[in-house]
Amino acid sequence: MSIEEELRIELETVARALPSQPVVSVPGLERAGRRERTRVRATLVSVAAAAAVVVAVTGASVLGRGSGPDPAPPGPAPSGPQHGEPATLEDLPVGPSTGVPWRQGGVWHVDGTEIATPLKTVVFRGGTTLVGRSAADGASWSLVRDGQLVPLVESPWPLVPKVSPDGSRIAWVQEEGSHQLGTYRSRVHYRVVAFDVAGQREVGALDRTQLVECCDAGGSLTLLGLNANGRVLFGSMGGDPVLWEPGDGETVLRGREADLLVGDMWPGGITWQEEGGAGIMDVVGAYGTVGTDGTVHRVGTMPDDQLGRWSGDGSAYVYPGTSEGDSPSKVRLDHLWVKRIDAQEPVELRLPSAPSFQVVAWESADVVLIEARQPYGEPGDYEPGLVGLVRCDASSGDCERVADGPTGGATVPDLY
Amino acid sequence: MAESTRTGSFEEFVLARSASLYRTAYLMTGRRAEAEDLLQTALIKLYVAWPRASIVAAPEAYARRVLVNTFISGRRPARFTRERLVRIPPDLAVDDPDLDDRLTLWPLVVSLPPRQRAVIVLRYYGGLSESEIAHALRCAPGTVKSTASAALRSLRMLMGELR
Repeated sequence: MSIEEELRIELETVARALPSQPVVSVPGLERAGRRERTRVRATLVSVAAAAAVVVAVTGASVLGRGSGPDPAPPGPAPSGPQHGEPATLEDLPVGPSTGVPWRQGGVWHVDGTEIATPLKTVVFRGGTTLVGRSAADGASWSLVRDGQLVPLVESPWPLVPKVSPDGSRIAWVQEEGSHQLGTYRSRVHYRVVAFDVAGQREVGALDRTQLVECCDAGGSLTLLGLNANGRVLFGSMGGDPVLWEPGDGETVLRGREADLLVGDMWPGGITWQEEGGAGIMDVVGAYGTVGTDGTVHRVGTMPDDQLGRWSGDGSAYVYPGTSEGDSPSKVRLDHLWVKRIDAQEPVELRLPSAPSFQVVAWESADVVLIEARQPYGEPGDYEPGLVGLVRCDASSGDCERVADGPTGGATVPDLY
Repeated sequence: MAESTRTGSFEEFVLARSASLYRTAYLMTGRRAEAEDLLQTALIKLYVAWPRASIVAAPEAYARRVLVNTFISGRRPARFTRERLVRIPPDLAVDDPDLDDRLTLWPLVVSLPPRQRAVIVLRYYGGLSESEIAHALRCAPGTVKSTASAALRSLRMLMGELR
């Protein structure tokens, strides 16, 4: 028998010894893919782009309160001994209900109103709620206003809008069509849209054409985010990022490379990933403003570069893990911390050791909403039940349970 | 140039072709856990590129190209390789197939350099032609030929050492 024939037989034998079907979760892939589209691929764009976002924003102005519809519920009252950790969830006092949206039984609960819709995905920031869907076969998004769904955008292509930190402006990048240029290259037409929430109208749109390559969608246009002034930052892998002020032109940003933009931009400017930390492979998150010439002015570093969330005014960052932001592999996130940019030390949110906790959203500049979930399920149980919502004061770390919140298989916003 | 048209959904593609891609991934990596990671990475990349991948003549060729190039590159973007903290610890370790001890070539295939291994798997398991492999590897057919030749030479030499 020839070696070629032996190879055919042995490789086939090995392949047949594998399970007939790998464990593949299409919804999981789609979630990861959407995040990849909206968050991670954006990181490949030079930070210079992000820097531009900040051009018009000074650190001081960024920290001012936004004028958007950011709800500001009262923070939790101090409970029990000032620095004792509650033993159980039931030991926490009960506070008011939340304006952060959640969905249960096919109904969205948004700031005291109920909306029945098949749209299952939510984007929430600064008091502004979008519900919709985005999949490989298209997208549909609506704005929630006064308990009603206001259609925002329909697209035959996937898209996920972003909301500015103060909730006053929305932006998205939608594909308008494409032409195949050979098997692995396409000319894709995009439209970048900015939408004013209060006026419920588009305030600008840009048309762009990009050459997109196989196999990693290189060249495709990505929305990177909106800054505190509602300026829109977008870019493409390998291209120059653009900061766009609807009605006031565009700025092409150049001159900064290698840094990676990370998922949640600092509302006062940009956030990027850079080498650093104790280990040779470690990376840290840094944030800074951008001068009028496009130069990035580094302000500080974040304890964690991927898993946290900036408050809407950019004054604080909530993150899981250790106080230093270490994210050792395969470790549950049992502890949550808030680091204010003007403070030396982070504050640990005073939560019981069980169940498991994860950040949902900032309710206001000082109050962060946390979801409590059963920590472990049976093997294969990837969606442990929601026990309830918890609200924590970012300054004191005191927490309270949210009244009338969702439980079980409910949907709440995630960080992306 | 004609406007492109779409065929099928991402979900349909994954359900229909993930098993095939998984086997290819396993034969290239030699380990189930790495094959699952590679498949997942490739499918996520494919999802991102699906609007374009779904309108090429053969989405599987596109997916295979993503898979093979991700494998050969030997490094996935940090976002794919960096550990993500999760609520639930990952699955228990999975055992690799308990293969017949009489398999003599398979351990040698696994010892080949990644590009040679990919060529061997695509040629002798996937049944691809030299031009199709060249397309997947983004190289010239002549390079495929020389790579396959070098791989077979190595295998023969290793077999000779064993016997």
